[in-house]
Amino acid sequence: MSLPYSLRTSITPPELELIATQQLIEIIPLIAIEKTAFISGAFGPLQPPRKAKIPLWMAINLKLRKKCHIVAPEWLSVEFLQSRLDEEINEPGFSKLPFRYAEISKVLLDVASDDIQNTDKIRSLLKDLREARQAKSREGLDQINRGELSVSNLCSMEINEIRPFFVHAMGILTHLHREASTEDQL
Amino acid sequence: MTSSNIITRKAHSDGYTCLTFSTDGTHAFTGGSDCAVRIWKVAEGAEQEPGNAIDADQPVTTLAASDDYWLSGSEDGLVRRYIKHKDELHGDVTEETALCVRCIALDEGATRLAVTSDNPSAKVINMENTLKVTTLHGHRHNVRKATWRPKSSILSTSSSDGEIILWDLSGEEPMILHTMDGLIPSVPDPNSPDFLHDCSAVWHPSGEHFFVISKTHDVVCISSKDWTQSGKYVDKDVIGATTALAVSPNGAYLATACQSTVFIWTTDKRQVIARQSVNPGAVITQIAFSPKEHVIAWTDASGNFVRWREPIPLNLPNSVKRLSSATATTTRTGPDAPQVDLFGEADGLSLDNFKDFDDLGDPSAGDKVDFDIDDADFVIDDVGNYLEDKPSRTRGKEDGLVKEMVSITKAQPAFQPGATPFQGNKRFMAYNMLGVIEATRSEQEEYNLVNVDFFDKSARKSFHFNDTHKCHLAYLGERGALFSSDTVVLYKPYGSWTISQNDWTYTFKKADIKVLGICAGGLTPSRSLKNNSDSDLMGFGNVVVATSEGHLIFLSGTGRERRILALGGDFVTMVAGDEWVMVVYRAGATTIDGSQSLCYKMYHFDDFSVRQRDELPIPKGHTLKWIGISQEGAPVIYDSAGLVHLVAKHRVPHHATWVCVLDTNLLERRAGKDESYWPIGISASAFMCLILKGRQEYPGFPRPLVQELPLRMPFNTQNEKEEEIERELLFKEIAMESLDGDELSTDDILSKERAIDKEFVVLIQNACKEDNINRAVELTKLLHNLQTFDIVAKIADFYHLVGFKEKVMVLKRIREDSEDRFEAAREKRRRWNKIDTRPQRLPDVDVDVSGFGARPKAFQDFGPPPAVYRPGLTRATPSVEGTKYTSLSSDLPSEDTWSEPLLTPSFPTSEKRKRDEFEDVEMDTQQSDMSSSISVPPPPLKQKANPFARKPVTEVNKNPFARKAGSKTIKQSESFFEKVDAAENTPVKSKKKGSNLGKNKEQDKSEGPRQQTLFGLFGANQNGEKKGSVKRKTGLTPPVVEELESQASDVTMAEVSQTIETQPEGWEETQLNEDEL
Repeated sequence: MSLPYSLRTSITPPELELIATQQLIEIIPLIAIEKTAFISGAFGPLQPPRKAKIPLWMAINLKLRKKCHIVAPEWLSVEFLQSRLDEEINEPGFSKLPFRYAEISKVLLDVASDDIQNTDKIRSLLKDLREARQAKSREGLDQINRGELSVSNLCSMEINEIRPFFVHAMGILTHLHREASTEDQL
Repeated sequence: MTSSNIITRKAHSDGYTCLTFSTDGTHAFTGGSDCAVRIWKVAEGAEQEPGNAIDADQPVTTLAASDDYWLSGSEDGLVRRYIKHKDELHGDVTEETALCVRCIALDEGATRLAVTSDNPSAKVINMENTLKVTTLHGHRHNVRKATWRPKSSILSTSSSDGEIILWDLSGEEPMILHTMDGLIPSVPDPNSPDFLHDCSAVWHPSGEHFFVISKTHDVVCISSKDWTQSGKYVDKDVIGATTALAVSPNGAYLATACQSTVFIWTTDKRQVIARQSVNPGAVITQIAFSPKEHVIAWTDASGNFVRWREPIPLNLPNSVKRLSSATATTTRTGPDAPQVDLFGEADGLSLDNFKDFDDLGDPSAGDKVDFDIDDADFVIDDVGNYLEDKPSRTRGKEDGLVKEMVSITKAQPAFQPGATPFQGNKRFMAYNMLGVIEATRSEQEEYNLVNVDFFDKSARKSFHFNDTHKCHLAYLGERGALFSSDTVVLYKPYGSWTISQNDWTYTFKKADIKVLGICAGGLTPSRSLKNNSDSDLMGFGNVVVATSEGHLIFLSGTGRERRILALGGDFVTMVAGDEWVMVVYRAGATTIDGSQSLCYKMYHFDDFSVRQRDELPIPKGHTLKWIGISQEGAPVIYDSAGLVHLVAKHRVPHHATWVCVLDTNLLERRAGKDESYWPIGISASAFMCLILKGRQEYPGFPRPLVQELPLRMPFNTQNEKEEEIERELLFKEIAMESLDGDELSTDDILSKERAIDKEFVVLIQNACKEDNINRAVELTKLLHNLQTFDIVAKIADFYHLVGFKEKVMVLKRIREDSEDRFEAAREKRRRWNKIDTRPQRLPDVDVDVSGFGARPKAFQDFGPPPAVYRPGLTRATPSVEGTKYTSLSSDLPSEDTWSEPLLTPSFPTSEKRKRDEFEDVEMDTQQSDMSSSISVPPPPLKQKANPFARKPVTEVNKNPFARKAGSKTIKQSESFFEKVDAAENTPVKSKKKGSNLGKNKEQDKSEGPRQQTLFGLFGANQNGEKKGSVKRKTGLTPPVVEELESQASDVTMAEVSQTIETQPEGWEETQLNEDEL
């Protein structure tokens, strides 16, 4: 595989996306389907115009065939993201976002941009959020020690991003520590 | 036009003059630049000596009159109040500090006075408390004129920079409804000659439009719906600037003044019907119709006051209500209470009288002799106001053509459920759970573009067409869309590629029949109508048309006339289900206390019999807003009070009851919000609607999303569970009613019952916790399934309620002994509904009738996948198999310990044992049902798990579910028992062991120690694991084959459970993961 080194040690974003598509999402179906059994469980029935909760992968599939409208989750709105962005900028900790917000928002904006209002604004807000959080996680570098790193509200994509480096760094720190302690003993 | 009809009198000196009539029309007031107001008796001639009010220091600019007083405004900045008909000053109403008062206007009830002065902000003064003043900020230049829209709190003000602002003053704060810039001329200089010209918006008494003199000196008509110009009054003889205008009290005529000539127009045809010129060269500054008499008056800039009696040609109806001559009007006092009227604003309450009347009077309007339907917009506009009518006015017509009692409560007009009026050029004609019919008015107004859009794109194909009939009624049925204009009905059944192939139209022979309402019903198609549906035998359903003659015309789906029924009342609306049509009508008149007195009848499509007939439960002072069908097929109504009612037991003739299922005022989301709901449909758990914000009355465009609000019966109890159970019971009952004649139950109902039982158990547990045994017993009696009784008994044990447990067991025994409840319910249904069954769905032609429904559908099996038998993974079980002796000897000690207590009362016959085991098994399944709260229905009972349980063949019938159990299991168990018999006594005993594992402790105390010794065989630490595994196994149904194998090989229980565990464990993990995500 010709992936860059940093990616080889962790899961790739498309893989994360695949995991994220297992989540349930609300849709307004345009076709009627009885309750149907899938490997991951039984979903449905779809009865337009009633809303239904199905896995994201199925929603994407239906959406691409123009067989449903996806109801954007509550957090994928300008107001919500704006408030989180403000929080992100003004407060030291990470703001609370859905664990897989990055993957889901990307998928939804790619596939169902017509079902989401203000997509441009949302896109730019998401980008701002991502940059703000990335900056924070970089700042967190100096807190890194060999033992543990506890950061709350970090999202899957971000964890994935910092994992290779942080793990490596912690490994080196552990190594250094051990050397130091052995030297002390001597 | 004889000159005797004209009375001219020099009243004031040269300059701006103003004029108004008293509300009873007996007096006229004129004011002018000589600072005086003259009071004229209208009945007297030119030689009379008028009264004088000379309190003003500056020229009088404006006048207004109410029932109790009259008002004058002058350039000295004072608004003075005078005693009725007299020149006695009562006092000042307001003072504009040193600013010229330009216009004063009283609203209809004379409660508020609008005052404009040389100031950009107008004032509205409360006449009861003149210190209460609302200031209207919005204009940038001096406000010149103000007028009130009749029957509403809308004020229109015109400013000197040519802006008209419409204010809504109904709320606390004034609100700008609309601003119209550049319509009227901009006249900033009060001394310019153009300042004499009227610039006010003169409202038509209906309030639907107003007239105004435009920049180009034409008179234009502006509609109040969208504030656009809807007409223009032009005539080749009218040359030059129009300076004043007025509308007759009945709204039929418009008087305009062009320099010194007065023209009278009809408002409907916009034609000049009369003209008069008296003092050439004098610019007329104000015109007024007398509110009561056939008189028009005006004043001009030379100070002349002119009255013109009978200005309307005799062949046309006069300007007031009556055909009789002006002299007769003085005699009418009796029934007609004196009304509050402003100059130019007629009594709008009886407007529909005028309308009829105009139509009758106009020879060309002969084709429109209907009462209120011909002007749909008017009717709809009316809906908002009619409840404010005071029940005191009764008015008859002397011409004898129409005698109508107006008043009391305005009758609700006929409507189609889900239809809205035009908003802009679009409207919804129908909006229900199937889809939407939208109409768009084309630019040329030659046709409407009708768009039919379905929510379920897979079932029906959306289409659109150009509607040249300009249909204004539409109904979206299950099997076809129905449209209707006044005279033509058009039915478009779904389901062919060439849409128009099956269309038909239906017209009337008589010209004066109009369609009031339409609907189309039919069975829901079993499959998509999108494709070739020739194989569908169900046809196109049924069509019902309600006419203005009071008939209901029943047609078949192909347009064959079947029956004409007389309704016997005013049709209001209707909705069609699969087997009936529910027609809402008004049997008599509305009542004096505000009730609409609406009733309904349900007609059966097949035999035209009336199945139900009852009143509609609409509170007094409220109207019916919507009528529809729930997903379960029961009719539902929604009224303006925000309540949703449902007809329960609608299938049982004359047994129907109204059940209140939702009060939208109590919705959680409603709290603190100003919103209303536009219903679309209803199901057992949700109320589907569009949400209208604020004062919005109809949904607009683009089409809003359908929202689902939780359904909640307005119970007063805090316990939401109780409400939920009762609601579910209600909808379950409805589902039961719609069962076929022979059907006992359906899977759906069974799963519903199981869910309800689960909730009952929770409630019983709560009752036990609170020591409320009577409540617990009451709830126990309502349980559906026998197995649930055992669970309740366990709960009783847990709470140490021995007495309750006994009662539960007694109740259980009674239930066991009594007739099967499904059969009882069926018997009841049959008794009530002897003759007919539900409409049968005919099979499609290309479906093999014999095999119909026998095949299980793909992907509909929600059970776990069968465990794959992997011999390589099973534990080696070598030694036990072959020798009988080993197994005997190993089991012997256990036999001794546990069989004793059973042996003591009597020898355990195989029969007895079977029953015990059977119950155990049932309990186990039930338990696993209860513990797993997944929505997937539990697997059918045939997959019941205890591999050791012998299936009691004789008792199968007793179990209501047993019907579902296939013969497969039984066969297998037989073969199993053959093997067992072959293996002599000992295997039976091990079987017993297995079943005991699943048994719960309360079953038999003496069994406790026995089990322990049993477990001792396999090691005590396996105890818990085994129990758990058995439980899971029952829920997840391992294949029988494997059990047999394990049995035959006499494997220990632990091994069996382990082999089975592998697969289900993985299954559960995936489920969990998914939840985590």
